[in-house]
Amino acid sequence: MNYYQRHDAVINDQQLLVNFIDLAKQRGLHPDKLLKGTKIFHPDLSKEFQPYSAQTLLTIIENCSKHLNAHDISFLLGRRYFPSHLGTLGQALMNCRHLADMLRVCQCFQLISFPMMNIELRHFNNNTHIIFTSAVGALSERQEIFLSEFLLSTLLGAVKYRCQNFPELSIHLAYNEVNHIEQYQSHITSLTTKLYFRQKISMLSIATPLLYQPFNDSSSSLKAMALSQVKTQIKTQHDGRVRISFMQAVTQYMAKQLLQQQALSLAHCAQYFGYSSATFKRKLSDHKVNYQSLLDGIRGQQAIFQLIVYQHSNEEIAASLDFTDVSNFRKAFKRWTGMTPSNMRAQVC
Amino acid sequence: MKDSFIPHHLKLIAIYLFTLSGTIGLAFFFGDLKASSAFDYVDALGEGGMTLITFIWIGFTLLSRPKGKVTNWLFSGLLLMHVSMLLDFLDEFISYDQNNNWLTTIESLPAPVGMVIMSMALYQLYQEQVTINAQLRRTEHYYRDHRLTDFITGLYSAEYMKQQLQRLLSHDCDNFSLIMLDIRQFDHFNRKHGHHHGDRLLREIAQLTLMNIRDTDLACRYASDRLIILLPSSSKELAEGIALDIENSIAHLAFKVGENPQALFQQATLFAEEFNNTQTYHHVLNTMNMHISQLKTQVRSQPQVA
Repeated sequence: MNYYQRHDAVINDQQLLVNFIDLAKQRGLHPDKLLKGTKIFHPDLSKEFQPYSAQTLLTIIENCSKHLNAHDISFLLGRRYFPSHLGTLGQALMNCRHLADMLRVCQCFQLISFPMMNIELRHFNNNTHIIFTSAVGALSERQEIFLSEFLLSTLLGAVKYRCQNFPELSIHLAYNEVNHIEQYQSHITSLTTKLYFRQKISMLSIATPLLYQPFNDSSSSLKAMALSQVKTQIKTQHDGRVRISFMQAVTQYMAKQLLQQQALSLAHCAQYFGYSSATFKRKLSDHKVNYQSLLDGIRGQQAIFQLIVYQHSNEEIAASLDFTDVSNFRKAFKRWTGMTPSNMRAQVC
Repeated sequence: MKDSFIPHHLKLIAIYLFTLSGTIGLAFFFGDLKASSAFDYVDALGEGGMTLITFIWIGFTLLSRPKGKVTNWLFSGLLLMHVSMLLDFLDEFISYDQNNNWLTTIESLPAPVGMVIMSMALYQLYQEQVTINAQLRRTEHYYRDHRLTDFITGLYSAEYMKQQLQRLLSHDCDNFSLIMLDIRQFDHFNRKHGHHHGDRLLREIAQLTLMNIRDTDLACRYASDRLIILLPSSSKELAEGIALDIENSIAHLAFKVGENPQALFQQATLFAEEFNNTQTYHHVLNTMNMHISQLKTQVRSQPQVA
């Protein structure tokens, strides 16, 4: 397995970039301003395409939010993303058996589907929670909002398209309530959607049976054919290696160690990934995080998830996340969310 | 990006360049360059700055204005002021001998003439603005902020509507009504015919909506395929009447995609409601959204007539 990092030029999605530029241009932003700091020269885009890095996309998002007061770009990009912009992978996705199948394909081909975001599924009590986190390290608030909106718009656009109607959903978002709520209302929510801001965790919850509701017009042979084409493309473009994001690999490993109450330290992680401690530290700082803040973030996310989904007691959560006692846990929880565990419970329930 | 007006002003630019070179040529023809020790830099800086500023004004005038009488007046006034400033500026570096001293005497003359012309131009600009305001009725209320314009429909965005609602609710206003409009199956249309035609459809529906509302009403684009219309001092019955008018005209819009002669008829879901000033704008907009979503679900669950 090979990992891609924030600064690796591995993203091949030219359509996304061109579409982004067009939408920004339509709203009055010159391409040079949008591409400032990315080393991409606008006229070159139509000639020969070079793969770009996650950092490039993040810079473009930052430029766009800085110069433009248009909040619909992330939603429109998301709407246009599936299925046509995903190319062959889009065809494979169109022929998946059900939504769960589609999500699995997205996860397997993260670099082609959502290179900027990790998607993690957790099932509990007949509900499935799709948790999404950054796959490329720390993000600014603008970037986090933009990427979350893009992902939600794509996923829910696909759900609406394939299921023909809009199922009952709830959406938890990590960031504060935004001013452009009208975009959420008309693009991603319906009457039955529950939308919560300031949750410090971003996830989409859906009843599990809906995920496995079969599509009538899917074809497993067409899907297999499209997937084999995708693999051939990967062979020529990415030296045959299916890559997942470095940050995803690290957070997955750390979360697993944490939950299994096994040894967890910077030296352990570095050794597991085959780096020296210094190199590992440098790689983390390339993603604008450090080991402590990463661990803290993982614990925070786990705690909030256990609290609002499993509805565990403080004692249970403190024990599962390796806190020495409950008061320590309460203190940490207050630091993560700005409220006590009982306050948050009262707010959600 | 909106097209620049510069290519339409080649004649005016030629006049500017001719005047500029004429003025400088004249000054150097009749005068001699002073010794550098005699330069008064503070004076030169002040006068040079004024020359530069008038030049910038001319630039923005040509950039922003279409061809026409008012533009010509503005340009002439500014040009005369510019010439005066320029002569004043050159004065700092050039000395004239006794015989040619007339140039310093007349150098301040163009400025007042230019100012009189500018004043006349501004009066015409005012009259022009009155006409444009009449054209902007139904899309703008009392306040202008070009940054809140929606680029697809040319209407103002949701942000502008929020500001207007806030303004209305903070005053002791009469009951007002809102209409929300949602184009049915817009996603499907976009997917089938492309975003370019989707945008065009939105624009035409926005225009159609404007034709159906009164001068006192205000239409804005809410988000995506939703428009919102504010009807000050209006009852729900009245708003429902206007909503029905809009619904009917949209149903009769024979939209054509490209050169295809086949007409595509669209349906819209509309909802009207009356509010008083006891609520916040958040609450008002949420109510509208909830109802339009409800109506959309009802419409979807009804069997479609082919």
